[in-house]
Amino acid sequence: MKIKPGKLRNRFWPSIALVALALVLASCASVPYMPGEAKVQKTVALINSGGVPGIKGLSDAPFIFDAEILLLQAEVASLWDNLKATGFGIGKAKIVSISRIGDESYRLFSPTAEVRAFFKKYLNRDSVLVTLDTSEGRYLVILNREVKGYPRIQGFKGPTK
Amino acid sequence: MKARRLTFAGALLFAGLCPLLQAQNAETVFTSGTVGHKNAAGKTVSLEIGDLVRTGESVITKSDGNAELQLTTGKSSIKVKPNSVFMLTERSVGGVKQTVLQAAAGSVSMKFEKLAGKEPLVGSSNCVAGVRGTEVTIYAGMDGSTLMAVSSGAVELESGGSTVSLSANEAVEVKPGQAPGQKFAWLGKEVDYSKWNEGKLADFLADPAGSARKVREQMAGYRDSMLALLPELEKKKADFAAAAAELKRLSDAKDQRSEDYRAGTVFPLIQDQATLFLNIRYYALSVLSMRRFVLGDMYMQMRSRHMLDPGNQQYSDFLGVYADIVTAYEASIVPQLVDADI
Amino acid sequence: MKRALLIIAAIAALYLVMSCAIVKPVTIDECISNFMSDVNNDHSSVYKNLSTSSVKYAQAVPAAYWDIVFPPGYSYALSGQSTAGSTVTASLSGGSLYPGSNIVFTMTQNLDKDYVISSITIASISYFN
Repeated sequence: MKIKPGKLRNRFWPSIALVALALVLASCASVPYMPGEAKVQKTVALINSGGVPGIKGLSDAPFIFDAEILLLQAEVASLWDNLKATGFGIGKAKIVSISRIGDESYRLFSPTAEVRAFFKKYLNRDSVLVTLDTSEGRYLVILNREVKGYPRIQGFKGPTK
Repeated sequence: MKARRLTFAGALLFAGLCPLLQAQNAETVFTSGTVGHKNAAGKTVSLEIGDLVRTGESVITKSDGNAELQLTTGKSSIKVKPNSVFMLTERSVGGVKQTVLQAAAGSVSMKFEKLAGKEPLVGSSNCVAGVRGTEVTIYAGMDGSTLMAVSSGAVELESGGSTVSLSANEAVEVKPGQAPGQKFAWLGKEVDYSKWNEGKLADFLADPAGSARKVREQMAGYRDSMLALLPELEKKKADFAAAAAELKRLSDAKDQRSEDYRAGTVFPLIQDQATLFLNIRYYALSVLSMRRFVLGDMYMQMRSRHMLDPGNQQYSDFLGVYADIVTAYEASIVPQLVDADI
Repeated sequence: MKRALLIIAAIAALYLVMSCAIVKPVTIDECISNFMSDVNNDHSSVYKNLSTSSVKYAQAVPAAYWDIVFPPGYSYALSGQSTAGSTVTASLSGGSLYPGSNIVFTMTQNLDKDYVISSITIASISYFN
């Protein structure tokens, strides 16, 4: 049976297109994570509703809370459970900045050797520092790549005046 | 201060009964759920069967994690329960290096075969015990308390300058900075750790500043022991500097005594410094363990419960003690740590 | 369209290949050389040449430990280095402190197939194992 050249090309082009798409998507995974404002506000709403404990893997150890390093999953879980139980919420938050973690970012949490070491060891190129202003003061939240549609929460500090 | 030195001296006395021990490693024989292995460089990876946990390393289990390890010398097993931290450390007692198996948080049970003089020391952040042919479980509470329960064998436990001997089916609770409590009969049933720890949490919340003061006392004990060694190390360093200068003089003069002086005076000074350094590291890492797993948890509990009422008096009183502890910690312990320890 | 897809595929493939780092394992000689360089220049990095399997690894992490074994103020060098299997023997010079003292390294490979030092003995005294 003779195969016409035109028909042969048509059969393989969809496969080539799929491979190309896969390669492009794979290359996108190496671009550092940067949530948009909508994602940040979605996270704030989740914290306000006490919904963090309900999403498995959303906030895990190691975690930085003010200047304290929490290394046990049970401690991080207890943190969010306590916040929910007291009815805590960030409230209406104005996003001041969403920025990459830099060499000196740790000082905003605490200018100590331990906090510097935490930032160096446990945060990565996908970790992002979000600064929020509210009527209670300023909050700092460290976010990372998403779990179930929400950025993972790696750290939390505030409110500070 | 004096109580802390007695504790160390007591451990020395007990350890003196045991012949020289090689520092031990532990091989992983079982894991389930999420179990982390933190190496001495501070890097945490997943713990797998066959992995060796070495001196200076930790095993950290999450809420679904369980791990079982076996010491590479002798038939002894260590079971790390969920939400727990097990640390394998080493310290030099009277010139003899001994392994210390520590339950830094949560619940860890250990079973040792009766090997003459080979059992390591066991303990938590606030006590150390020598064991002999023993099956023992250690529960580390969120307030720094320890419950040690012996299923079989014998345990000699030191804390707050006092010693208590436990036999099979006996247990004792030790609060931070205090002597062991009254020992009681323990019928071998596993303690419901969650319930026990909830009790510790309730005790803590009833008097947070008081609990923090006890932790401060415990940490101060370790710190004082460490601080006592620092001048010794500095003296050895000074002696070494003088000896090195003398060695240089003898060498430059091509004096035949230089070889003997090097071997007999200079090299022993290097060895002495190394031993002192190891002990200083042991105390500093013990305080770090309390800072991280006890004080850190206390802070989290108080802060997260008082986000909406930061002016609460109990919370303010706690913060006063907390700040005091952290200041002392930053001044005297942090200089002895490296980034890999954090 | 077809040409465009081909170009996209080629660029993506090139990106992936370039983003992969190809690193050769560290050899015995390289490890010893790195170790001596750190001994002379940066004691806080000495531990990176050591095997995490060794009992004293945690002890050996701080730079202060290596300040004890290799006190500052001397220039340290190896001569007559020879390798037999996993054992490296050399003569260590470091002023009057180590005037050609015998130094023996035991080497091992880590999971990345890099050679690392699992023990160090100087003049028959073990400083790392």
